[in-house]
Amino acid sequence: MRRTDTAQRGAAIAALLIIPLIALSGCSRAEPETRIRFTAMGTLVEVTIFGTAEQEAEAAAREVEALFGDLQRRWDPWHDGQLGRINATAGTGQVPEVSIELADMLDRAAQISRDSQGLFDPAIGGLIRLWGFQDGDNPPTEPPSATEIERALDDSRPFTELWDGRDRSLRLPAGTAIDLGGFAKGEAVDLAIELIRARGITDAIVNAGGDLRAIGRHGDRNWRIGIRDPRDQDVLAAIEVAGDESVFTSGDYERYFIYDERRYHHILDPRDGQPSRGTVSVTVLHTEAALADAAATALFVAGPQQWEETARLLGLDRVMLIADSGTIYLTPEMEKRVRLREAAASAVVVRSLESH
Amino acid sequence: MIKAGDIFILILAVAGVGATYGALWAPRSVGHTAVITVDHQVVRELPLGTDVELTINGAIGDSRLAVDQGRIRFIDSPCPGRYCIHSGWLSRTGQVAACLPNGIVVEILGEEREYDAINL
Repeated sequence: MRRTDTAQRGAAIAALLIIPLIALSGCSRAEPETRIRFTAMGTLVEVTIFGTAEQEAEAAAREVEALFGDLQRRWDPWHDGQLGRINATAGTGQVPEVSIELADMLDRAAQISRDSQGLFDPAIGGLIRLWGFQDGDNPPTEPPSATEIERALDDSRPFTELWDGRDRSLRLPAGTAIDLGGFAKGEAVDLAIELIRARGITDAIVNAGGDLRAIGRHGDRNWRIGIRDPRDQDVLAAIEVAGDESVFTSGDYERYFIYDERRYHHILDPRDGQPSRGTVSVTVLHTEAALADAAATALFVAGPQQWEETARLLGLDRVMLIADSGTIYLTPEMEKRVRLREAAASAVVVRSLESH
Repeated sequence: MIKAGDIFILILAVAGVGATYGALWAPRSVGHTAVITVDHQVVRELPLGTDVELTINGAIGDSRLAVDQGRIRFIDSPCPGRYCIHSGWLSRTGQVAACLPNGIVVEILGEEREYDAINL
């Protein structure tokens, strides 16, 4: 009898002691999520890894950091990297050597340039520099004169005329320069995801200044991505991503200056050399980040009148374009994916991309 | 028969539950916090419940931040681009604003993140 009492008492005490232990184990089972943040390519990059031991996850994220640093040097149009040296040959008659890796990138950039009918054009480096948008840390304070823009347009040639992928030759006339902005960030995100996968990690997000590619899931739920409202800084739409998908947005609120009460942003229209008007932001979903990046730029320039045709030519089906009128255009596939804030829903127009 | 030692253990066990409850089970939504880092080192952690203006010294000078009604933003910074100021108010867990030239990053901590990432 006495033994039973003791046993019961022992069990009761053990149960009470176990409760905090359960609580603690609940803690150690907490979502194994690792976030590492660093600055590269003029932006804040965040790597989120789920379900991998912290040490391993951090090691992979630090490799991604090194990769971004390396790519930034290689693809910087104006300093002594691979692309900088190529741009330095402009007008000299020299034909620069292009590495196989860069040639592959230029081939894909040329394809997107062709498909977008030149609305995405990596050969507008001269124009970008004329405006002063090439230095992210030191944006311009006033626009160039009409004469200067005219001259830069006269000097410029479409990228597809300058680049010949067959013999990897790039002939740059005086005044021209290649700027892979609007493509390089996406390409870096793709390469980062490739690296993360090679380390055996299946669930991750690489987010470069808000543009991202997500693979796998966040444990038993999908990744949740918020899309910022271009005008009031809150979240305009939510989107769930699972598997493998990139979310890229080009907006007029990222890099801009105000001159004479007018907003001049960094997305230039290759046709007239001016910041493209009519669009506030474009969001593109696609597996490949590099294509999503360049496509967002092309669709921004295409604007409310031409974006459907451009999206069709680029083979995209998940697009959201916000016009400066406030109208939110969605493709039917995008409509299925985004959950818009209630106040925004009334501004939506859904446009099918079938030929008409 | 319960002995004094048993009671002691019982009290300890109950106290253990009490002590860990707050940290482990209570909702963590009570008051958002802003964490400010300079060159990736935490320099300030402050609750967003108290309105305040503060100055943070960074790589190129002083950035000014304001906390107002549970939100925080950059109000002035020595950077030429002013992107940090364009970022506007932050209030959601996980939201981040940065003044990269000055090396200052502000992040909101709080309850579970509504979003794993914010697309800009």
